[in-house]
Amino acid sequence: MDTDLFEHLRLELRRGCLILAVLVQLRAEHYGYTLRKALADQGLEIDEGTLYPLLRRLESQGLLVSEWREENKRNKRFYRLSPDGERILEQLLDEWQRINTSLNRILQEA
Amino acid sequence: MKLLDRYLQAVRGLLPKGQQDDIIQELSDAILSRMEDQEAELGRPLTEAEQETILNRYGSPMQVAGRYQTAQHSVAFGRQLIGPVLFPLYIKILLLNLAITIVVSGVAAVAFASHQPMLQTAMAMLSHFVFQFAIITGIFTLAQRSGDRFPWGWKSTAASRPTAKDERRIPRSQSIAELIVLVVFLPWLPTLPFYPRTIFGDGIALLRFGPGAQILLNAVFPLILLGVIRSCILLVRPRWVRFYWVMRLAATSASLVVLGLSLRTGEWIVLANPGGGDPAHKLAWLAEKLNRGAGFGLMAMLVGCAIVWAVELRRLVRLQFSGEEPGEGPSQDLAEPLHPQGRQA
Repeated sequence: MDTDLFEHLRLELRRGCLILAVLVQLRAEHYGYTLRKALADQGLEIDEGTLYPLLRRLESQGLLVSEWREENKRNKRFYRLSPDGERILEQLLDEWQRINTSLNRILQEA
Repeated sequence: MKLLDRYLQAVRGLLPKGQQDDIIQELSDAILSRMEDQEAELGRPLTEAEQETILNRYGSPMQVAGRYQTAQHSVAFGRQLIGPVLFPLYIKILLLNLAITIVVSGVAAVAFASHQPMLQTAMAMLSHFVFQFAIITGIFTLAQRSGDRFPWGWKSTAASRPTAKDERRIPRSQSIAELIVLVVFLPWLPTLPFYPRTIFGDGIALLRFGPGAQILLNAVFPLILLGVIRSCILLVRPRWVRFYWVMRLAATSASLVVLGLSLRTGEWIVLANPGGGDPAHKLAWLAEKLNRGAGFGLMAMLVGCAIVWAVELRRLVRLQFSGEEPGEGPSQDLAEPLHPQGRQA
């Protein structure tokens, strides 16, 4: 029961963070596989089954743009932040900083 | 990468229409990249078992496709029973059942309005629907569990994917499905002549099956029996493709004859007591409307049956004279090799 609850809360916590991390990472162009590796190198593992549908959703929301290009003799879909995505990312990062600061303050007081 | 192709083909069939090529191409690249990385690490090509491990890590085709559904609706009571892939079909089937229940109950309510209180009709309708809801939800839950546990879309296909020669067979799954329909869902039909109350309820005092309906109902049992025999034999002998088409043609021919005879005879519903005074007089118009509707319905069935008969005959003739085995192999989708082509987004 505790494990299930923890897992549920952990996933909830991760969900928003992952979106933020993906958007930040896509300030530079990546295709899915290199994006996943880049995130993993920074300590943020993300399952492909989660990442690719997430990329599609963010693109359909206008936060990302994508382009099919050939690399290493294979067609790959490259993603990067759209102008709208850049604007929203800045707002999200401000929000993240605010939450982080508040949380740290709460933790210190406790 | 035969295994990967099969896996992707299984995923493709479950993806939202219009996005299939795009998603499959991207998925293909992602999996290939991962496999290539592992090959570089090991310094040798991956074995089929190692490829399978990677694919299993991705999840069953149903799970993978489920993540791409735009509407993430599902049925869950604590845990998820029906996921986003099956959910749209589940809703369609439920609505279809609801529509049929309403139409049938509505006709019954009109027919026996003076003999059955409205509340009773509504309760009967509700109980039918609740029963159907439980059955349909149970079936879809089992399908979901089966899809999650056993990646039947690709693994089983990989194990039993027919070669060109093996395509000359009727899949056992098809024979089992036909048997289930014939043995579980249809046997009540032949009992109708003996238990007309099943259809007419309390209206049995006013309405009866007419000679046209008797012809249809008498033919149901032999046709079901024919179908059961065919499916049982094909379950044991799935390569008897010619036998399958001969039996199908025979069943369709018999159906054509029965439908023709029934249409010629006419009168599917008759008054139990034509000289019964006022109530019978009031119901005469209803019987006439029902007969007219049944006539149109059977005429449409006859036309459909004739088309099916022509198609079956053509396949049998081709099978006989050109040596072609129609079989029931993989669909065109599965038969096509996967060659993802580049596409500019």
